[in-house]
Amino acid sequence: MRTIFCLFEKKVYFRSMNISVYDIIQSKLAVNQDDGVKLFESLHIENFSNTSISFINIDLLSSLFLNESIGRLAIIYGEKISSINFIYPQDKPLFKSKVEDVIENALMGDEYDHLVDEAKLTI
Amino acid sequence: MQNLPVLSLHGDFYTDFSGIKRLFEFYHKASEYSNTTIYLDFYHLTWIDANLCALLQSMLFKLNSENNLTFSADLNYISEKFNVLFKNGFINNGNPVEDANNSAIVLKSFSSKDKDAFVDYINNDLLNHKGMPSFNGFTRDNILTSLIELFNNIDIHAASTYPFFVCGQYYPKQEKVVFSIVDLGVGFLPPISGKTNGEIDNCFDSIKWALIKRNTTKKNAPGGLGLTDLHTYCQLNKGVLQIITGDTYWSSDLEKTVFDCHKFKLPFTGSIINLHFACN
Repeated sequence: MRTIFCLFEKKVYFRSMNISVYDIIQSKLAVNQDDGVKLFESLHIENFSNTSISFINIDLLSSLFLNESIGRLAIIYGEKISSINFIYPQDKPLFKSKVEDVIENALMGDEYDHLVDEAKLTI
Repeated sequence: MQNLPVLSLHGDFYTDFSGIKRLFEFYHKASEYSNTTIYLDFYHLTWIDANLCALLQSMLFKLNSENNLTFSADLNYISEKFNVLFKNGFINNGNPVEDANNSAIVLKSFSSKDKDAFVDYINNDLLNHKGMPSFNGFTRDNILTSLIELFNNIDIHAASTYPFFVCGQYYPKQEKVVFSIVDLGVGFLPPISGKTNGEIDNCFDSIKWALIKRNTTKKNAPGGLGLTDLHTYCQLNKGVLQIITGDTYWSSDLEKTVFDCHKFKLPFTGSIINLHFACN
């Protein structure tokens, strides 16, 4: 049994080189929290620069879904996440900016918000 | 009917502060009763924006669930004078009424977990409606995603097991479609106050907070991108976004006036989002 389990782990590791969001959540709607968690739990990334995350076949993408998956990844791994190659459907120009917004917020964190708030007070 | 308590819907109910305030008052009068049937008097009603059926239905649902109230009315009179209430499904007597003008966007309720049905409804009933502006793919995706963000927000932050209610109406003379989303949760203030460690301590500030993109894109932040993007869409396309939560009524068209918001003396529960889409 143990051998089978290791093989399974290895299989997940190799799949993580090129991750299809659609394959993981089995839906064109990447919108809810549970699916975001499902994606996050599937991301066993060891080499960020060799990793692609593809949004091909996804019709809708919400910030909640992204916060639960990519946002959590960014909080854990910091700037490393910038090396991931994100692949977007050609007809969904909004996806790229959504992913970037979520990563930016996750990387900057509350300290950045505090600085912005202080800067506002001085204006 | 002789011994039933009677509550009257009186005058005009438009999708504005006055109309919503008087529906809130109706709710509070009804909530004084329990374990009975209330007769709803439509004889003194002169107009109701059909999209407000989302709010009215949510009130009847809450009154039924919490006060064990049922409701009756003169359906023949309503059929004659306010046929739209049959067309949009607010009143269902088993005989479907054809909406020949296709002006109604039917009243529905959704569980906050039922994302597929909600997306189908928004795509088919709202965005494909003949009265809606013709969107390019980018704008259509943006509106759909924004509405999904609101859906997510109800799921995560409304802290309610009740369904939420949606309804819309095309007004050809005013060249607009108005779409209402009503949830029976805790409203904006509790989750936003929690997120800001009490810094936000009133409903108006909670609405303004939820409209700022930097706030609502954060993990665990109430709001999502939905309100920010819908507000921007309305600003650019002659639309109006109204948000009602707790004691506060905020509307994007108030931004051009001396008022920041209006206050209700008798608030309802949860939140109401009304979107006014200007036709092409």
